[in-house]
Amino acid sequence: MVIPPSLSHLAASKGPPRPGSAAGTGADDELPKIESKNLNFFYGSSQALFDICLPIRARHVTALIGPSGCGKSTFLRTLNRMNDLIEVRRLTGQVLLDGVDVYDPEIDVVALRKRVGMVFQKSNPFPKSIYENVAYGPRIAGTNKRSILDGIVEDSLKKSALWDEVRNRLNDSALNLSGGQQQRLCIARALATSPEVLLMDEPASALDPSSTSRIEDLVSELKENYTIVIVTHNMQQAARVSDYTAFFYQGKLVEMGETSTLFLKPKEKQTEDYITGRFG
Amino acid sequence: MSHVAPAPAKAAGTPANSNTPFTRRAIGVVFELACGSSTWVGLLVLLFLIGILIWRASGYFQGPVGVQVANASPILVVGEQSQEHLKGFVKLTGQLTVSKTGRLEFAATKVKKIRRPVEEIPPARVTLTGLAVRPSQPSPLEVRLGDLVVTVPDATTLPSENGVWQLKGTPVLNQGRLSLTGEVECELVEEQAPAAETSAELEGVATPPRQTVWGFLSNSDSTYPGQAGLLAGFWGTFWVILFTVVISIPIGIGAALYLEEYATANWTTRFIQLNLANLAGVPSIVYGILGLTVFVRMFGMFKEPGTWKVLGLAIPLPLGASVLSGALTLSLLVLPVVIIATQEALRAVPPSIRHGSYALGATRWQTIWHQVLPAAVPGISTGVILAISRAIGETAPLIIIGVPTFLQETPGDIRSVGQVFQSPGDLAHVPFSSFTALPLVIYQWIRQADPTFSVSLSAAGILVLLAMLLALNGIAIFIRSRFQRQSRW
Ligand SMILES: Nc1ncnc2c1ncn2[C@@H]1O[C@H](COP(=O)(O)OP(=O)(O)OP(=O)(O)O)[C@@H](O)[C@H]1O
Ligand SMILES: [Mg+2]
Repeated sequence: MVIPPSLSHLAASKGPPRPGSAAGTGADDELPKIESKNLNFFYGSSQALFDICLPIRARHVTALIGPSGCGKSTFLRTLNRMNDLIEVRRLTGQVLLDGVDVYDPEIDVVALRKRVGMVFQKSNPFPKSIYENVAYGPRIAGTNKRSILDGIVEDSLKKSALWDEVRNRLNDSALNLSGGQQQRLCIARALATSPEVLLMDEPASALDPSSTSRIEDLVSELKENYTIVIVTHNMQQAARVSDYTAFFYQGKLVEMGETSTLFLKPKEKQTEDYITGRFG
Repeated sequence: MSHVAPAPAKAAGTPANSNTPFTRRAIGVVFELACGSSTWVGLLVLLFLIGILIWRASGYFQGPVGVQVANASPILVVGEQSQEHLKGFVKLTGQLTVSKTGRLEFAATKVKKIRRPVEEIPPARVTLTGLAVRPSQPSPLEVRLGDLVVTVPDATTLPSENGVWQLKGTPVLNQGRLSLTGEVECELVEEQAPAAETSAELEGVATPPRQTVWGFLSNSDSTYPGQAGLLAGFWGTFWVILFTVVISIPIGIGAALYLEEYATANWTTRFIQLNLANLAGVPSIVYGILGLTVFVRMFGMFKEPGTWKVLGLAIPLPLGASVLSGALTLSLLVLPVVIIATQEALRAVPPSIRHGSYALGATRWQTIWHQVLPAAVPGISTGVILAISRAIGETAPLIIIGVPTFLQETPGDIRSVGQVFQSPGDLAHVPFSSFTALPLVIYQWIRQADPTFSVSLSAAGILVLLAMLLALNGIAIFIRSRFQRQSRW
């Protein structure tokens, strides 16, 4: 795969290309970009994830579905170690990013989170200008040249389909944007650090249908260059945007497969019940 | 009609009648009135207070309460009947007697008010009669008036024989404070001659004990109400508060950041938290005693006061009642409040902001510095400024640590802003200078017997203090609205 021109400066600004990054080959796509192996997670003494083995394919969209409280968000947060922020927690097993365990003590969490970006369920723009929201990631990574930042901001906003709406008011407060725009801004913000993997936790749950479909279109476009894991409660959405779907139930991974197969011919009874709306 | 009437009847005497639409509305109205009236009463009391202060102070700036003849002490007051308006001045003729205590006394009744403004003060003429003492050198000549000795340094004529002399010069009274250009008429006697009954005649123009507002702000304190001003108190307060801010803000914000963002919730942090809340409520006089022991006396470690020379500075040890001691004491006082206000402001920053920052690969420090602190600035600045406003008005701890209530010197001898730029070297002496503060000056004035001090000047001083507090609170509101426009969530 070739780096699109819009991405080239990002690749240039982050130093030597990493294996398995956007510059990868077709063969890379066959390997899982990120993979959890026998992952158990505990909040204090209560276990939230049980022995999860889930490979996530590079440059594809993987949807996580399941009833509320089944551990989708918890699993998503284990992938970029956002669970580290929880005070009493325990984790066993592995999460491999390009074959390297992210829970290895040698791993730099800050670098990991730059490679694995995250978009939250509720949009959380910083109380700053639109420009500063997007430029924050590159800035803290050490990019301070205005011209480079300008390029990154424009590019990220274009990729998140927000550029045309905000190009004339980049210095306005991000909090003046609509809910849908704020969520796209958060996506742009995540893209600005040029991550390899993008984790999205119900990115459209608080949005109206038209904003939702814009975000869905966006996901389909972004999977050209990014590996995407998306949590959703909306079966249609999962069917529309994802290539693979994983069904979680009570902290366990019940079934995982190609979206079309999982939705049309689920192997497990629980999956069938859930997607046909019999519970959850 | 008919279906309304039974309802109260049925409910009468039962608790249920507190729930009829009428009682609900009545309770609502009563509460609204109660809350509204307390607000209005508070506002009225405040306006009344400010009104009284302005009224009392304005007497001092607009017209005289008494009439002062030059700088005679106490103020010479002349009778209303005898006053003769002369271009707005009062002409005084009377007997001036010199008492044994060294004060000039002038017997006359009181003038309540002279309405016309003073435009130009012709020099007062005073005739002193007494015994002149022949000096060993030709000059200066000393005139003995009772127990007082008046020196006439620039006497122009000095006859060699005994007799009545006319001297032209500036008599300067040593102990009393008469400083007038005038004539001295005296009898030259031998040095051993006995002190005779003496008297002085004073003919002059009464000038009221008053000054312009600018004079009030730019003069230091004085024992003459016509010259007393706030300058020393203002600069003392300015420096002490500046140092208090410089000391307490970094420490306070740092401690709050540590407690909120770094420390894990355990026994120790809970203990600290509890004590912070207690410390914020400790009476300020207790901090004064603490400051006296720790900073002013330094536990008595130094047997004799000495100085520690470092970087060309002479730092007195122990610190004594210096600007630095005052600022450290006030810092202790405001720190708990600053820490608690900052903690609350930090807690109000939603966790989603932090998570967003961490998810972009920010370190904890970057998250705090770039996201949490800016979002907390309105809350922090409001808390800090309220704490500082409290410190400005503090009198008790400063009195306890021994800050003088009457002082004419400003810290580092800096009397104007321009001076700071002209000789920045003076700044180095500021922290170790003695000082007085606005509330102390006002306190000192209020205790005076002279109503010009205890009524007019103190009211004017309180108005200046209030104006400073209002300005500070204005800054707080400005910062708040400025940052809040950005940080809604
Ligand atoms: N910070 C936490 N501390 C303790 N328990 C938690 C915490 N976060 C989540 N849990 C528990 O872990 C389980 C999984 O929660 P998680 O948020 O992963 O569910 P979810 O699948 O994302 O649900 P939803 O679809 O409602 O977002 C739940 O039982 C929840 O109560
Ligand atoms: Mg969730």
